[in-house]
Amino acid sequence: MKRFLIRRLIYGVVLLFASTIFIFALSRAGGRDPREMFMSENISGREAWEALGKEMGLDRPLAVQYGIWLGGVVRGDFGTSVREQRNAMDLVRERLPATVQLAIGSFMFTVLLGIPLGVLSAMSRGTLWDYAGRAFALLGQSMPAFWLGIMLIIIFSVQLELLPTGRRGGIEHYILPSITVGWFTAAGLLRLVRSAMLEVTDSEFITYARAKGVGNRTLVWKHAFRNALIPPLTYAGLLLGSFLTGTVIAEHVFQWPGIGRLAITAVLDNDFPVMAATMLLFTSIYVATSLVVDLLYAIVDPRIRYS
Amino acid sequence: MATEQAIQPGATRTRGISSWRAVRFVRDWPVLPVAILAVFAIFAVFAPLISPHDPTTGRLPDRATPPAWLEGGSTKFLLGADTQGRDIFSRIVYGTRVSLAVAGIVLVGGAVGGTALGLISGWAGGQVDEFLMRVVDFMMATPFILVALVLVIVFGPSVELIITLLIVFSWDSFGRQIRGETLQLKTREYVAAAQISGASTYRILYRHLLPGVFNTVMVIMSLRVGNLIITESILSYLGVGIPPPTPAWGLMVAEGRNYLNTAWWISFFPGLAILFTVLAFNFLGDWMRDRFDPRLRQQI
Repeated sequence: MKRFLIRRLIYGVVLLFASTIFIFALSRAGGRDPREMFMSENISGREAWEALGKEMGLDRPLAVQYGIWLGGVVRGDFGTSVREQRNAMDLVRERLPATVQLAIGSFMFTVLLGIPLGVLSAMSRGTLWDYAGRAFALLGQSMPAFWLGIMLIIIFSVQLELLPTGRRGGIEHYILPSITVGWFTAAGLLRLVRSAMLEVTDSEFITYARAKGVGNRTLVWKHAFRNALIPPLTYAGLLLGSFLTGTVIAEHVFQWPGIGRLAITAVLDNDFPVMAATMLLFTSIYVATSLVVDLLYAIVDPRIRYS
Repeated sequence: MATEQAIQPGATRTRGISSWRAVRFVRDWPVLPVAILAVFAIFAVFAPLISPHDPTTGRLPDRATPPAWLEGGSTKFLLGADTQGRDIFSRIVYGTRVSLAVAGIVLVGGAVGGTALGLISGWAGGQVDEFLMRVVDFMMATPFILVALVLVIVFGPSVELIITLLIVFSWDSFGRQIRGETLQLKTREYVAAAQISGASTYRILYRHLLPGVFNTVMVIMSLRVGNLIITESILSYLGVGIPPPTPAWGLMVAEGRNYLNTAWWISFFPGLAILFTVLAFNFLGDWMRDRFDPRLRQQI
């Protein structure tokens, strides 16, 4: 277990390192003056422009330039935002809480709907509940998040005037964006839980428990459900990817002042320091979460012993 | 006669055998999704014949005309007109071409590349396998939408760039699954026999392992296609997809974003087209998986 953990940590670091090379390459792609992505010459003036070139080591080989840039990144210094004229990391830190809150809301929507509906759908196979659950899943996986968000705005904000169209605020501001992010992942989770439950209830130990006279509720939640959690966890990584993409899209649609929106505006404005910081943050979140998932996996399924 | 009754008691009791058969046919075969996809395929192939208006030019006086059945709508614009007075129905019809063509090319490119990656990784094992799987991890961890945004802004929007990006980033799902299957297949005796009889690596991969994973490839393709159409629409929604004036569904949704109060139909109908296409593909994908590779049920 310990060895596995260390190995995974090293993988994670190597992956992040590869990611920095990739992001650096993006700043040097396209044959432009890389300074354009760090500073506006018209605003800062010729002198600062030349100084920046020296600082970035533009007269030296690419490897050295990368080293200089990475040295800053490791210390959390991504440079100054071109658009906001402020430290990029500070901007990210400011926007992070909004994204975390939205992520919690969407995660709750995903888990609170995906798991119970998946169990219900599997346990009442072939009934109306099953069809309703599967329709919910199929619909969720087929709707592009941006369109879902816009439709929710049209229905609940424009027509019914019940909920706000966007921006941060009280609890009512969280409902529509959370559904927008969460429906797709809830759908995926539902399908995984449903098929895992069906698989587990087919197994002999369930038949045995039933023959022994175990009550229905205990049977479903204690015997079947615990074992049905394993396959969904294996694919949590896949769901996580779409979860992050969904967050970016929902923040864009609902003008949510979080990391996703910051990232998109940074890219569109050619604001490299902010862009690099947000991209690396997204990759780190992914790496860290998959590590946690692997650990959870070992806890849920004691048969798994990493070596 | 008596034996026939014994075999199919239900069939003889219900008055029309043909109607019972029809019900079973609809239940066992994906009739509805195929019908929906057939309609979209016809849209794509015969777009110039079907669309009543030019998809890229409109008259400003016609702008934001509601759909035909609403007040103020006219039969001239079945699903209404957008902010530039262009017919939404015609643009959806032409947009089908974009979505289906991109999805088709990317799917084939992704399947070929991803399968090759998986076969090589699984067959070679050792360091090569380790390296390729770390590359797959890297692709999964990289926020695709942001990378695509950056590259489109650096190199300028183009169809080729979008397609290449989508292909490369669809390798991971194929690669990982096919690698797993290859690991199982390569322990089979017929593979060892081929090796002993002197078959080249290429021949083993192509003639002996590829047929074994082919079913899985087809199933993953059918499960991926919906996702692919959605990803393409996200890019065009953000304004970095297939460059205008080519009508793309995602872009059409984005164009109606600022008119949700007054002209909801501009965003609504293109999104509905995406929903129907993806829904049909997903339905078909599930059906194919259950029919051809039920083992994948647990996994995807």
